[in-house]
Amino acid sequence: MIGKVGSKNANRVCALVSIAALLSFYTYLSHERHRKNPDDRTIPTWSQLWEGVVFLCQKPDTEETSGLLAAALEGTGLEGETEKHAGFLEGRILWEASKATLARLLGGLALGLAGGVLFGVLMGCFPLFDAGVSPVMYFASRIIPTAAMPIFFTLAGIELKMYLAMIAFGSMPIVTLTVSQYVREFPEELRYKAYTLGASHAEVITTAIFPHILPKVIDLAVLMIGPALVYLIAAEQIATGEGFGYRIRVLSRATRFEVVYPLIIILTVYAGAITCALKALQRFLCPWYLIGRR
Amino acid sequence: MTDTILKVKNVSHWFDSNRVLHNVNLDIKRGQVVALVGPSGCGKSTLLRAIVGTHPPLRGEITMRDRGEARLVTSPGRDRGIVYQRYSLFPHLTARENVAFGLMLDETGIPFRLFCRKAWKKLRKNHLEQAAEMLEKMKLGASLNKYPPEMSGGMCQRVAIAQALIMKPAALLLDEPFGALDEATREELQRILLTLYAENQTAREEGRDPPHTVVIVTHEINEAIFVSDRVVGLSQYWDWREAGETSCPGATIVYDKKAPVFSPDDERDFLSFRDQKDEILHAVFDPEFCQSYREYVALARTGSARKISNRSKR
Repeated sequence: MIGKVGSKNANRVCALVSIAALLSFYTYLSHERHRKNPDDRTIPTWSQLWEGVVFLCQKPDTEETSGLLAAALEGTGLEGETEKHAGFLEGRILWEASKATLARLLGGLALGLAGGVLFGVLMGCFPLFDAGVSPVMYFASRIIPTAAMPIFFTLAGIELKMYLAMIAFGSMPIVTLTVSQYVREFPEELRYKAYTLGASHAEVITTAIFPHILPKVIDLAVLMIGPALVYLIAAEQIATGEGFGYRIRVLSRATRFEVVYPLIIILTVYAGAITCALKALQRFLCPWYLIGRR
Repeated sequence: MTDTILKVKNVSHWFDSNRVLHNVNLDIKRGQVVALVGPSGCGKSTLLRAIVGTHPPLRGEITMRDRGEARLVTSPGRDRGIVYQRYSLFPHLTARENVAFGLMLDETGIPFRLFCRKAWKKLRKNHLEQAAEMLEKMKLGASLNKYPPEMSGGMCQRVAIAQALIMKPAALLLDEPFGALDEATREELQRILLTLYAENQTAREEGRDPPHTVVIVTHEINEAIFVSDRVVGLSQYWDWREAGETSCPGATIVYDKKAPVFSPDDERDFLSFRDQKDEILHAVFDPEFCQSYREYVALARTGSARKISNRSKR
């Protein structure tokens, strides 16, 4: 029947079946590809993928990475600029890339969310402020951050603050507009009730409205991880000397897909881990929200 | 006049071309439980919002007097507690926290809660204890730590009444509070209002001021008569032509009469006030019956209870 919820076990079995189907399909594809061309590296076998994971986790030997780098830069007109990519030769790839990408992602998201919540709450509470700010926010929300990347490079360089600014700029207008809508949806009866109980304007915002929208803001943060990653990886592929985007670009140019695939999966796992952490935070801070949705 | 706690004087209200209230006059005395009834769309909730202060009237004035000077109502204030039919509680707070919410807002400010953590913690404990006591009184002792989504509609409304009462408001305003409840729960909550009236009577007998003044908006006439000691009917069906109007200028009060008083233990027998129910149905809800405006104004000025006599047909 439509909408009928299955048992937990049935749900687990369905999830496992779909994962198994995906893995089987990949195995088949890889096998076929290697049957036709044993040197193929675009769809690596499981053993090649394992080698890729080992390569990511160990400190690579300089000779191997120098070769990789030369292959990556070949034909780009940047062959003489290997010193710019010196970071590529140092440290464990996974550790270094994770440090750089996660710092940029979390920092940018935190800034975008903080600014968005602040502006969104003010816009939702004060119609005059809304009238002044919303046209700017609507306009800003239509700007594609990756398209505006050269402006960020020019204004903020290619250091950490450029990535933070880009992710914050990319996510803040959307967060602002969504949060202002959440605030406007706050039942007026509860607002009036807070006033009759003696609340000041600031207390209505901090003790009634903000706790009410907090779980939705956390859901919004989860949704913003995807776009933030898109902006970040695109920028890293163009402008940086470290991070997942940069590693993926260099390694894919050197056709080292047995390393690229694990990098993409690990990036996805990070996004999933952040999602799980935010959901756990939501359960901890807003237990009432989940009760209401059961 | 000093025991008049709420005075509605010549109040009119409209939304663009839609005229809702016309020249409404109402005096509510300390300790009264007043039921406001009327047909759908007659402006009962608009009048209540004007009293709450969220939608002040466009013409006329509303004043509150609670142990001191009369104050013009222009915004919501803690001297008026409100219980709505929907969204009666803050969903992010447990029953106990909801009841303690007003105490927190009333007795502390944001800087105190932020910077005097130790003193605030002590006060908070005290607030929660008071809230628990109030909920015990409402027979909700087992649900102190439940969130609103975990409680039934009736339980939520009881918590909402406790939340308003703990603030000891000069007037408790109820906007169709039991509208969405089943009959058994409704009766249970109606008896809570009768308990409040009984507390008023006890206070009067002991020479104290009656503690509870209640205005309840309801569309249920039996409920209005059962829980109140005064029923006020607001209606758009009155003789506005006699007042020189060419179209209906809005609803006004067409019925104002005492209601029989019940104690919380009395049997709820609707037949015992059937005559008054018929009278209200006729005077307030019947579009064919038009009350004389002049007659109403004369009676409203003397402040006497409304008498339904000299009925006129349109």
